[in-house]
Amino acid sequence: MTIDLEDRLRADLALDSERAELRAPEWSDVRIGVMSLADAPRRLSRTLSIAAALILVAGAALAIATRRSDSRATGFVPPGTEVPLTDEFPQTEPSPASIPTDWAVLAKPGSVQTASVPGIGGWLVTFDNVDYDETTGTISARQCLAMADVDATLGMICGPANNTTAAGSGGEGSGKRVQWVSVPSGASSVGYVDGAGKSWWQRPVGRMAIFPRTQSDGTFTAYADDGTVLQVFVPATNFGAVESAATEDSLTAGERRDFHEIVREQMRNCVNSYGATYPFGLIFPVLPVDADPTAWDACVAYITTAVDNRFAAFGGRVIPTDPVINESVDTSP
Amino acid sequence: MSVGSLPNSESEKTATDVFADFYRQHYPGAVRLAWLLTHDNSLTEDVVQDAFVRLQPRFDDALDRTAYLRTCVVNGCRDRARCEKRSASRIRLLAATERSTSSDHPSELLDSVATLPYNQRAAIVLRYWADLPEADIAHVLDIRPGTVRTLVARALSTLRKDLPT
Repeated sequence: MTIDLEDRLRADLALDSERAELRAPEWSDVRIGVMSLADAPRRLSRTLSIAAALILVAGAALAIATRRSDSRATGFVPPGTEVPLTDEFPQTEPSPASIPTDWAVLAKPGSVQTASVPGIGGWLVTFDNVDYDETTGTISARQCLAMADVDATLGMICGPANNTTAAGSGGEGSGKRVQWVSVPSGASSVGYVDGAGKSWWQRPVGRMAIFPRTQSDGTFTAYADDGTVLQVFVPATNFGAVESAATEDSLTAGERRDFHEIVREQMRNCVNSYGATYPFGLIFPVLPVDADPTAWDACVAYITTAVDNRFAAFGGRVIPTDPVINESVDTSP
Repeated sequence: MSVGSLPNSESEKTATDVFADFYRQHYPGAVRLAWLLTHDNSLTEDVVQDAFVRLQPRFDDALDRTAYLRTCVVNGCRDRARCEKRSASRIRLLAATERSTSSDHPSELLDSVATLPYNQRAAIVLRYWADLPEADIAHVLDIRPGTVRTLVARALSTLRKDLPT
């Protein structure tokens, strides 16, 4: 007796579908419970926007530092010689000794560690991702590596989180404070001109400075003992300039998307091989606290090299080998 | 007690609760669909997670949430399949891949299904596993119903040729 092909398909597909692993990923219920999924892409984009802006800021800071390297800073005077209209906003807790010892490793000066990769419709950057839990007063900082295009974060991985109940946070929530978690290690004081133009200063603790937040964020400046400007840090500026720089690519949308997907897979594969998880409902993999201490740097190096090599190998252009790749990229849903 | 004063547990649920219920209810089906299209548990997980993330912002407005989710899964699998194919073709230049083999499939017939072009494979899965009518398959694949008939017919023709007589 001949079994009808369509019946066989129904039977075999039904049987095969039972082989799928149905366990829900860890992040799902937690994520749905604690975080708006709708906000996630926006949050990542905003975070990355800040990171991308830092590329420009780092350059500006370098220029400023160079100009001022042999001169005293103006507009701010280091501790001991405070001037009128410059108020101290002291950090009261925790003591420096309670700051995690590897904080400095996690939050490197300048935030943006890796150069952008122009020409592929996006960037590959590492940056400090900082979250503030208003309920517990905890700041979580982790270094992340992300690829993004103009519209969204296309892939993101992060190293282990480093948590602290932030110095000076006062439990007032992120809406009341603005932090800089990667103050240069040699800084003895940090000045901050808030969005309303008011000047503050502070002795950084654990390479972190924290000030009252105004409607718009201001500008941090790190000073050495002698008043030399070490670095200027602006939370978010000039993003538009970065956006326009990213449109200089020559690849089609399909080629870019393909390139991004490959890189994203490599990113995930690397951290997954070190036991990455999706804690706190995040949609990007994060290395656990007890991960191999060399894992994060190894993955950053691996991905950076892989992107460089791949891009160079393509001569700046992905050559399609499958006609289907030239189809227009659907955007909905 | 009037009927109107009875607590309405459904209306008291938050939007997050409603979405969580939907997630729990539809996650297995979404995973099975993605599995049939990719035969890769890692990809399946990624695709399904992405599909729910895409759905959530539109959850309240979507006319047919299940259909939207299904479309997201099928599109996600197609995108992944493209990348996997391209990635695998490059990797083969350097070393043997560790991609799935025919032993991953429970039957010779499904081995043949796995080799079909993506749209044909998706049409077969949606027709014979999800049991969707042509109009719904057309909506998911964003093609005309007539094209669905063509895809299915070509796929069945290929499968008949592949099967031992």
